[in-house]
Amino acid sequence: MRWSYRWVWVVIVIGVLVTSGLALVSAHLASSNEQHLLTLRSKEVASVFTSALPDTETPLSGAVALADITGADPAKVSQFADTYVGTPKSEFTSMSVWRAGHLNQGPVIVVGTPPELPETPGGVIPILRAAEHRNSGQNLLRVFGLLDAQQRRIAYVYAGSKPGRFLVEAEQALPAATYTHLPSSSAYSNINVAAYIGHQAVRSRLLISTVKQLPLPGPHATTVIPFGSNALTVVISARQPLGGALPEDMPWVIAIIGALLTIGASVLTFRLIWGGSRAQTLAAENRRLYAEQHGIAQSLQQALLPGELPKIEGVRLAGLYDAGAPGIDVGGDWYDMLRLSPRRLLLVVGDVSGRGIRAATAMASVRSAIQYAAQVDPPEDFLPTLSALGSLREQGQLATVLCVLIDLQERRMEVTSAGHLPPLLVHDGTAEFLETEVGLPIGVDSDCSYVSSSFAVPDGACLFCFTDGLVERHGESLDEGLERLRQAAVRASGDLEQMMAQILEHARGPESADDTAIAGVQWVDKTNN
Amino acid sequence: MGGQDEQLTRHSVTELGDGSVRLTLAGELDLSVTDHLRSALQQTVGSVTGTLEVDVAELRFADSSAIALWVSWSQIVPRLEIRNAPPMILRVIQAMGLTKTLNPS
Repeated sequence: MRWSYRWVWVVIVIGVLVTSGLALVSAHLASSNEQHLLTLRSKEVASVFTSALPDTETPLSGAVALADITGADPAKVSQFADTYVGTPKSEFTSMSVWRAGHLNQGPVIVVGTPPELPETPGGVIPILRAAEHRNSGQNLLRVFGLLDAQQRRIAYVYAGSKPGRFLVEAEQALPAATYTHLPSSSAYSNINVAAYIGHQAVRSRLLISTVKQLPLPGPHATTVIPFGSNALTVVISARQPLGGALPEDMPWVIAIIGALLTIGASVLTFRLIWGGSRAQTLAAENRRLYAEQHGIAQSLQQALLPGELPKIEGVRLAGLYDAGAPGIDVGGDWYDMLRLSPRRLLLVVGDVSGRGIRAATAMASVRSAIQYAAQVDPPEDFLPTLSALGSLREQGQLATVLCVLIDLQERRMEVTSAGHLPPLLVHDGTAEFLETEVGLPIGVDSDCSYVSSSFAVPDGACLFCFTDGLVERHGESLDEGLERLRQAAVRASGDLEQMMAQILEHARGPESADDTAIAGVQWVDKTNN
Repeated sequence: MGGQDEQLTRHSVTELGDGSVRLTLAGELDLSVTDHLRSALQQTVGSVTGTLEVDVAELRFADSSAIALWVSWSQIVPRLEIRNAPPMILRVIQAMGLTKTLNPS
């Protein structure tokens, strides 16, 4: 596996980390919000319990006041207490009046069922003692406790404001079962409630509960509030999330969306890397194929051009072939330099119309034919023979050929043109085209003739034979191109190769797709040699 | 009869009677279209028994492969005349020594 595929794993790991992080934060927020709501609800429930206290307090304070005024007159106190005790609507199962400091003597007055007397920790006496003891220095005191009776009862004790007089104890029966079913329409239907007497949620001190199983399952909130001199502990838990289902489900929503995004991102990453590497492979393959084909074309072209140029005393020779704009096509241009005899040198430059293998092979055959024919005949004689061969004509091709036959000894040259552009002679800071009679290109007509023109070679002259790739530009007259070439040749300096490179650079169009061949000969000054 | 060989090149053919045909070329004519044009017009050129007039007034560019195409037509028909040649094309025909073959005007 390529290293780049590890990015897929990086994406997966980042996705999982981010997703789980967000899910955990969301879960924490949901949970703390839920806890906050639970606490609020538990306080609310506790306040409902305590709001019932004044109703309880009123009969007891009334009874104490009456006992104090009447000296605990049984008839009057009983008459008062009867309205609160033992009737179907009443709150209390019993009410009793006790004389402070004489608790051991038992109640002075008893209304309803007798109070739970035993001096056990769960009985009335310890509760009364606590009330009596705390009476000093305080105006009012209420003490509540849960009696340890067969039927569960809650006891209320009210001590008068004046010490040493009377205490009233009242008992309220609790339902036998602590479990209470809340109707679904209730405002508390979405929570479970357990209320305990005292400061702690102790099972034995349970007042009421809306569930059978205790302690309450799951997250819960506990509120402890004063309940008389005692305390009430309210524990609640939620049946359904108080903040609604969304915050509760949000971590899962985030986890699922995050997982999907992670999968999507890793698939996308994989595809990008895969696509990228495939594109790279394809591009590399294309480059290789192109280079190969370009290489084949170049090799073919190079094979068709002369290898080593003749070495001749008194002249320098140079040839140049440029394939033009990048492409894989071979062209039909060529140059050749043939040492026909010790004193005769033939320069040939030609151009077969078209491009590609067809042009290149036609060029090769014409070039070979000239190499052979030139050994026997001068150009004006072998060019008609070549044209009569007809192989070019049959393929709808034609070739322009320029032959410059140089007499090294006489320093003269014979120029013969078969439809080709004239050679350029450069000497003494000037450049001129050697205009000759232009014959038909090879491949036009089997019956044709050529006339050669003779020129003397000035001292230190350079002669350049070239193909039209050097001067032809779109939207421009041939003469403009020829003039540009002439000026470039005048400005060119250095040795023959350098001059040809400069000429190519300045004369040819920058985006020319056409191939170009140049053959150059330089007569070395005798004084410089 | 007419057609569009390539986006840059258009041609149309007019019968002139007595076996002569006027072929109008327009656009740019280079190596990328000459082979196509050669096969597209093979029958037309082959049917000419008089003069093939090639009107190149609308031709913006013609390279050596275009010249080669005209030369090959000139060997099929009794007479070929390049008509309304812009100076640029005229100059190339002259430089290639093809004035008597292509009869430009």
